[in-house]
Amino acid sequence: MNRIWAALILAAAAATPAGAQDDPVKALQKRVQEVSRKVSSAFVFFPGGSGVFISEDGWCLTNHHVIAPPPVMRGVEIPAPTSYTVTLQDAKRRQAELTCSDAVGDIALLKLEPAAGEKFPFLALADSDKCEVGQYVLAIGAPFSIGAQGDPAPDGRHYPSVSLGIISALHRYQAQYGDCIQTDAAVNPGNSGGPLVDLDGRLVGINGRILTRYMNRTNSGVGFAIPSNQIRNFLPKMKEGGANRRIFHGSVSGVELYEFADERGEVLVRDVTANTPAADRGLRRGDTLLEVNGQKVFNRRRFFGIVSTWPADTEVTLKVRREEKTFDIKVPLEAVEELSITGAPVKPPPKAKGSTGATFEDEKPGSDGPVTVTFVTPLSPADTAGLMTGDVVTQVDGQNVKNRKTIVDRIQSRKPGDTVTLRVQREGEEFDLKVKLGQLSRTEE
Amino acid sequence: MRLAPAFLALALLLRGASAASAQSDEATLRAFEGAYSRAIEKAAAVTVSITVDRKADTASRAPRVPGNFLGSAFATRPEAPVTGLIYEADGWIVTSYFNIQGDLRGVEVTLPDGAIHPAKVMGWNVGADIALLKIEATGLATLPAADPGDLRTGDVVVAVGRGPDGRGVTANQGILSAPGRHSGRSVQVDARLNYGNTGGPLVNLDGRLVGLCNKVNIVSAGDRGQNSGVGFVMLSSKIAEMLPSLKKGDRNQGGGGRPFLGVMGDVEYTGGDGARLRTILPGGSAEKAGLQSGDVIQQLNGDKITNFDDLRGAILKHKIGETVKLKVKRADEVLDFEMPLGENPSE
Repeated sequence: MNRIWAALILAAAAATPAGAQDDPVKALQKRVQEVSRKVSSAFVFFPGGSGVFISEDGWCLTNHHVIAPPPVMRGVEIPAPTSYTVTLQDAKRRQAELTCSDAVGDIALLKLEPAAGEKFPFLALADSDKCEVGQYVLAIGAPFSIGAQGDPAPDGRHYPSVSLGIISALHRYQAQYGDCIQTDAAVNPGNSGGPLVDLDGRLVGINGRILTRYMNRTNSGVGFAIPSNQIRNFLPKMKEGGANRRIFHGSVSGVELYEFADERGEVLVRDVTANTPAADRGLRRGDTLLEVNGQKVFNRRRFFGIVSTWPADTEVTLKVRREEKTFDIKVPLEAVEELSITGAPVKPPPKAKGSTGATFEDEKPGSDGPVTVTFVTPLSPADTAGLMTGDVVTQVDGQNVKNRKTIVDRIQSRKPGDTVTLRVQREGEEFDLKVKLGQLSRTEE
Repeated sequence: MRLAPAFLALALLLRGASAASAQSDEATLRAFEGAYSRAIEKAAAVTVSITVDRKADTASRAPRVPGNFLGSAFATRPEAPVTGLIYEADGWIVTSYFNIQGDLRGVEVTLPDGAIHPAKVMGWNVGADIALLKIEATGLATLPAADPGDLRTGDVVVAVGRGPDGRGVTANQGILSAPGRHSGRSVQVDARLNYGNTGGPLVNLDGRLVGLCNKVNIVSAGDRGQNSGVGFVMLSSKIAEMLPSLKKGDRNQGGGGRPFLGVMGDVEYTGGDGARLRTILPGGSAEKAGLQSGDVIQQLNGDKITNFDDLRGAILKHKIGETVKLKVKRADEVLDFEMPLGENPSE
């Protein structure tokens, strides 16, 4: 008897999941449909990029690099326009006025004036620190300008592209993005400035960069978004317009940290420069830096990463341990124009050094021998002059190249606007290329 | 001891105890995977392998992107079998035109059950990137089509292809990214579409045919052929519309009906003084008229162009064959060009 009961009940149990077999994916599908619909209505098509409303009265976010001249033009004065024609989903073209832009954080805040009684659909900001690696996210944008102005659907509306993925990593320190979210949702050129949202349709970040290889400017499964919490930290000051529509990131100068955590997983202060705000507020060499504003510091980059999520002239609270006593130190943040690649404090930029925008490498690092071009920044002076990856450089301004240093020293000893002649070997031919130098940016070396 | 399974089963039903919750998680996960495998299984029944014996290829005139010394991946074509889709039971098979392009000696179709049939290439449409093959067979499996009106952004979809050995299938999951692409002929998906699965079916969770995966090109796969997560699928209803003409053996170049200059814009150029060109497509009006990569188009027939979207809009105001005048900034000069508008081959 018991045996039969067991069999019957087991059969019933087996029937339940079988009947609901499609439900988990169907539930996901239904949610993705709802969120896609909501986010698409709050989406803003920018020329060459994407954007999104974050309030019903027309505050709108995009990337700084969508509205600014490309970074290789830094140092070349191109006044950025302050008014942009954008397209909404219903194909209406509207003017968006730049309120404030954040070059380091790569966020621009713009305002669209609503007509009388008009309310824009918008996304609320999520708490991005509550995000988890593995959670589903949607990226919404106009990759390759598909669906943008001039490319409407037959119903006359403009549909941004929605891609589904997960959060691959959190708190990444990636070039100028001090605390970004990594996602495998497809993000491509044209997605820049578009929203990354969770399954509740809240904004967890603004998509801004992708990592690519082999000069293939398409998604590799590695995309980066600026987190909503960083944006929230900047919004009040940005709404006020910043200084001449610009806002600066904060940093703590004069604090030298060990690069990695010790065996206890903690980061020690290697040195503190006298007469800096951190020193004045009492930070000392040998202190253990536990937290910044409640967030755990797990290595040097993370410290500068957390700090960079706040604008200059705000105060951050450092949780410090010294001789088994734990206490707080409040430090005011100073303005920086860029983050360093390593997370080390930013040194003032060298004066007016020239740059080609190309990367040169020794065959054997540090020793004499052929020097090969390993990367050419698109649109850079080197690119314009026709230099290509794989080229071997034999002479610079008539001087024989011994190693990479010969080239770099020569280029950096010249000023932006000067011309440098490179003798190049390519596919058995040798010829000269004249490169009119641009300015060395602070993230180059 | 005898009671134990019954107890477990009850607990599972009530979903009370933590063991039951773990069991239920497990069941949810299996259901999750099962939903995909069932859709894939249905799609596999209509997915065929196509072996193309090619004398010469005609795809070598692929666009080149400046700075890409490696050359475009579209200059060469894989020699492995490609994928097709049984569209009608009496031997009508559709695939991407890309798959059968070139000077052919012969084409063979391997059905899901392993039977090999010689195939005849019937009609094709280059712009829509579709070709029709005929094999002598009847009673083949087909899929019911998804109603285009039921498609929503966010629909879970699977693209199915045949593995290089022609036997196993390949499956790539994703979602429907947007409706209404290519003047309504296609939808966009983020499932990764590449050389292997182009020409195969895309199905939804119910195993209904959404359409034909195609147009793996420089937009959807970059010039190195790596899929970007931007893929296009020609709707089954549009295949049905085109089928009579393809069965007659019509071989069309275009079909989109939108005017076309033959340029690709640098979509991230934000100079604001015009539309900067990234690539000049071979054979297009722009190439014949001498436009170059890096040129910035500032005016089209008197319309001011401040970005690539403006250029698109301005082109669409005109008809195919109409001659337009351009003002183009090249280095420090502004040059005048005149050229007839062609037809967009990608539509």
